[in-house]
Amino acid sequence: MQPASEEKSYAVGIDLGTTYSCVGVYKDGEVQIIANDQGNRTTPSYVAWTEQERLLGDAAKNQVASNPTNTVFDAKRLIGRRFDDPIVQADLKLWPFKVVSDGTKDDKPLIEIFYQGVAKKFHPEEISSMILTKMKQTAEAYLGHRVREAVITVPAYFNDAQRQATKDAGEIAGLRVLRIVNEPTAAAIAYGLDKSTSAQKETHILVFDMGGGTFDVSVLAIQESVFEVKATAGDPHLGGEDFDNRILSHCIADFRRKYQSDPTRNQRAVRRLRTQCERAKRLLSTQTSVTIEVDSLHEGNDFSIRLSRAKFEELCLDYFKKAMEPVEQCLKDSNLPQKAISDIVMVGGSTRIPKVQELIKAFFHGKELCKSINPDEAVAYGAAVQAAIVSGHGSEEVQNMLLLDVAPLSLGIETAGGMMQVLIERNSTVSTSKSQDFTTFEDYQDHVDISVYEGERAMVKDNNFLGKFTLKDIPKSLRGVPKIQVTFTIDTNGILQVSAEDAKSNKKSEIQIANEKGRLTQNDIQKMLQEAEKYKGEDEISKGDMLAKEELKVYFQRFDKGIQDLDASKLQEQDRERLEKKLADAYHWLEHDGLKAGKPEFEAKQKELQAVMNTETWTFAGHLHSALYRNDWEWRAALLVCREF
Amino acid sequence: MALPDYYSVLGVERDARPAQIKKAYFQLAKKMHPDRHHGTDIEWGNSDRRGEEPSVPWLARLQEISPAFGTHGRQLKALRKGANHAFEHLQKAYSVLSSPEKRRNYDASLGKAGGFSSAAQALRGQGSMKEGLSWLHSQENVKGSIPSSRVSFRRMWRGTWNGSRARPLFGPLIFVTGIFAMFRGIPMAAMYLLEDSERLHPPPVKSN
Repeated sequence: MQPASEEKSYAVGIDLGTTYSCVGVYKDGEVQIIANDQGNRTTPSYVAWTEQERLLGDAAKNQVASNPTNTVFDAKRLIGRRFDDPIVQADLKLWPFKVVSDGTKDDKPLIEIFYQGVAKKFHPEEISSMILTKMKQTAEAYLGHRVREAVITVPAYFNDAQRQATKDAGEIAGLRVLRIVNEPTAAAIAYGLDKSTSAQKETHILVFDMGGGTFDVSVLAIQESVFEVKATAGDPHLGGEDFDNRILSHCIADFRRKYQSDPTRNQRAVRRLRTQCERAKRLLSTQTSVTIEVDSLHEGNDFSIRLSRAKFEELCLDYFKKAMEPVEQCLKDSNLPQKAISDIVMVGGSTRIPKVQELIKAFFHGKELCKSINPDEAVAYGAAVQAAIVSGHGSEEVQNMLLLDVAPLSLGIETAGGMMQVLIERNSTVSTSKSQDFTTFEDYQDHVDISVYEGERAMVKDNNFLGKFTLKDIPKSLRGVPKIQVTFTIDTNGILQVSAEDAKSNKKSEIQIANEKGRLTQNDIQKMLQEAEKYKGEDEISKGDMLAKEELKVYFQRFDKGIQDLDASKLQEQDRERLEKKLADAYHWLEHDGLKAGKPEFEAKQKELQAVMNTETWTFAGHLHSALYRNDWEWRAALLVCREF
Repeated sequence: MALPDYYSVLGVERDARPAQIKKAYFQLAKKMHPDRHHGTDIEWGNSDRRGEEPSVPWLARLQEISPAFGTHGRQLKALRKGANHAFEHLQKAYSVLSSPEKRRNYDASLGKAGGFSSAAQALRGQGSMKEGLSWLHSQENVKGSIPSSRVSFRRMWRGTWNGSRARPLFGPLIFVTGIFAMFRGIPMAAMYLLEDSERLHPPPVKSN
């Protein structure tokens, strides 16, 4: 690691979305959103495996219809969840790719694909890390430097395990994750940088972030460049994809009615139809009706249906209504009246839907919505600013900014009778820690089990279990005598650490909570890192193979042309036949064995042909010159070789 | 029961207006927030758990120059921890003083308890220890003690990180001075304020 390169390394901000991802960097006093190799400023969060290679981003999404079972998306809906999670089970039915359980007690979901005839299983973290790698490469191509550090965003309502898993994905992609930032908070920075936020007066904004798969609402107070999150609420599983699914099932029902046949088993048909449904949904934001058309969808039947905006709204109305609950909740938690909100910032692609805008406008009694920021890029924009703040690269204005975020869920431990004893309350500013003393329940008890939960309900059984650990070897004494101090510390990433200490013996035991629950171990991560390296290598090899193959083909053509150009006086008939035979053999080889061959084989073949040519050439020296050799230097070298023989 | 002095944590008078409290809080938060320290102690703990060296190149460099720096490294870790604790404490102070209701209750119990904790009172009496009480003051003292380089955490961090190869002496020098100056001020405040006050009445824990 050279100090020079260290100085030039940039920290990027990555918006790792369910359906699309976006990367930005703070450079020369402003944020740049970086376009990928296709020229798009957002990249689909898709990974695909074809016969030959692995594809990422646009390339993967473009071939999804022809390769549905090996194209993986929606990894964000799996990350940090268990296989038996009802949400995972419901999503399973809609995905064309296969998801299986890893069979351990953690019950982690694994995504199974077929690559070069072998079944391979991947953790959702690995899929996310591949997308992060793509984003990293996009940034590196633009910056011309290595990128080692990043700020990654997650939905505000992501829980502890999901945050940890996202952090792990960053690590597998070879990134040091400086911060995990909440998406609506990042969007608020983008909004705030636009306005002058250094004003003394306090303004309150509400960020409504509805993307492809998740939905968040946050209320922030902005004053003197301090962005203070007052409250946050949301639904980690509500977004554009759910609307797509509703349109899709509407279409399938219609198809069934029309043709009495069921296309749901036909993955390819479903995928093609889904793509059209997504397109229709987008169009319905600007026009009042669209036609969904798919030729020869299933069993040779064409499908066509007219979908009006009203029908679409009717199909998804319960989702839209559901989205208003967190808004209400969030306002209530922040102790602010509706009229205190001076701006409503809309972020995420789904906020383009007119009905969503209409509902939220009605909720705020006709208040105009703020649409001045780009809903697709705002989150990456804010993440890039945060990366500059944390890494210390930003301008003075940026350095003066401060983000005070909150914990989205209450955290606590189980006490007598299965009650939840909350230590850190929902919406408390991070980082924070809270200690509380507990004691033993029985005489001469020598250990206590501490179970950690997150959630708002009074009984732990209704809340989400995070982990459990045991404090052992408590000095034996009567019940109620030992003093066990339990400390919860939640860091600025929203990741929890719990420790327990016996005051008398100073015995300490602590866990980083998600360790216990489905989290990848260090060994797992190491293994995945190696795997990722291998894939990177494989990608390069297959790219090299293709290039070598192309080069060989070009050589064939030149060879062929060279022979054709020579008339009988220059080239004797038997020589010509021999050369043509050689060329035909080589073609044959390329068509058959060449399919599996790699770069070395192609190069060897080219050398072989060249050698044949060279032995022949000395009889018709000058004539092949222009056809076979690109420059004089190469020609002279060839001649020299010929003379040797 | 001893009460922590939330007013001196924020460096404001007891009759400060809400706006003043907020302003003081913002100023301090901008200095103490973990974002300014490039990481929290949990991240450090993380790197330990993962079985790697903590990702601080200059620390290794320091230890290479002199093994004695090992202890300073540990001190630094404690120092970061101290700063994070200080932020957490600031947070607590602000959450009490910013809510009118909580502030009323706090003021009332202050009156009942007859002022601040005895330790804090004792410290208040001794001029030499006075700066240990308030974060704001100790910050200024630290700044004053190293006038040449205006040490902030991040600057200390970056300056030595980047320059550790090029300028092997400059970094350590700042460090040693910085560690002593800051170690004296920051965590002292945090430790005093955290010790006794946090322990509340214990509800019984479920056992098995």
